[in-house]
Amino acid sequence: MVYINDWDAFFHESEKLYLEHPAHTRYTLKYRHTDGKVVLKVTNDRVCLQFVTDQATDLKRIERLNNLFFTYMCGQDPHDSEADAADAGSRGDRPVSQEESGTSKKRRGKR
Amino acid sequence: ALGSFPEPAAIMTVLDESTFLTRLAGLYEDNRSKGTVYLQMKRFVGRLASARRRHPPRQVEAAEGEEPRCLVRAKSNKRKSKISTVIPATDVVRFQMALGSIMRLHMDGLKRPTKKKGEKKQAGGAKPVKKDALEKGESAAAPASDKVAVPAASAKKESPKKKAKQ
Repeated sequence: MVYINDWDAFFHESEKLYLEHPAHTRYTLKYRHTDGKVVLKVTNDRVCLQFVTDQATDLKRIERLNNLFFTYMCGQDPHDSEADAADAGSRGDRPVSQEESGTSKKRRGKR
Repeated sequence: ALGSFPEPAAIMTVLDESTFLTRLAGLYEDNRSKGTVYLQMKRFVGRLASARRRHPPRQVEAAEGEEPRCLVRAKSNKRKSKISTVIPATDVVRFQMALGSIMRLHMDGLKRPTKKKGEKKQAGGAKPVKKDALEKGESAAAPASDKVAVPAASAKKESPKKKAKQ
């Protein structure tokens, strides 16, 4: 599989891929301490985006990507969350514009 | 019995969040000198939706009323090391932070940008005691590039501590 060299390109492409296929996209991290390498893979079983790094400086970026995916996977839009100044409590009310079946989540979020 | 196959390593242990994190840390530790740790995340909206994955319209239907959750899986190359957990939306932030700290703590074999040899020597001199065990594990792998990584790793160990203090 071909690796994407540029972090920003990888970041944006994987976000796009997730938004197109939220139900089928998965995000994988493979870490080998012996090689000192991390391989990130975002795939929907049709398209596969991969990124390799051995740099410690990329760990922060990886964490950002992790957080992005976590937020999306649990039904919230991270860009909206940033706009709302990241209030912890009101997740259920937030307008989830980009997620499929977003409107029903508004009510279901509160239990 | 003759001809009995070893039990397939296909069993996935589903855990709660805190146990999962503990076991994940254990996975990283076990695979320090040898092996790989795979960590995977995927959206999860209930088993019915997963069962209908071949029929997208029905899958959407099944996912209608479900709160989306995050399925997190981890494994190593060794047998019987598969663990997983499901994170509901309410716990996501907390899990993110915990996962971030585990990753920062364990994924420290990556290269730091060292510019001079003098820097390496300083970093090499400043090793506290517990790194000796680490050094043995790292030098066991021993390609040439590890010599750069090894003293750099000791510098790395200090900065997570600084981050933790901050």
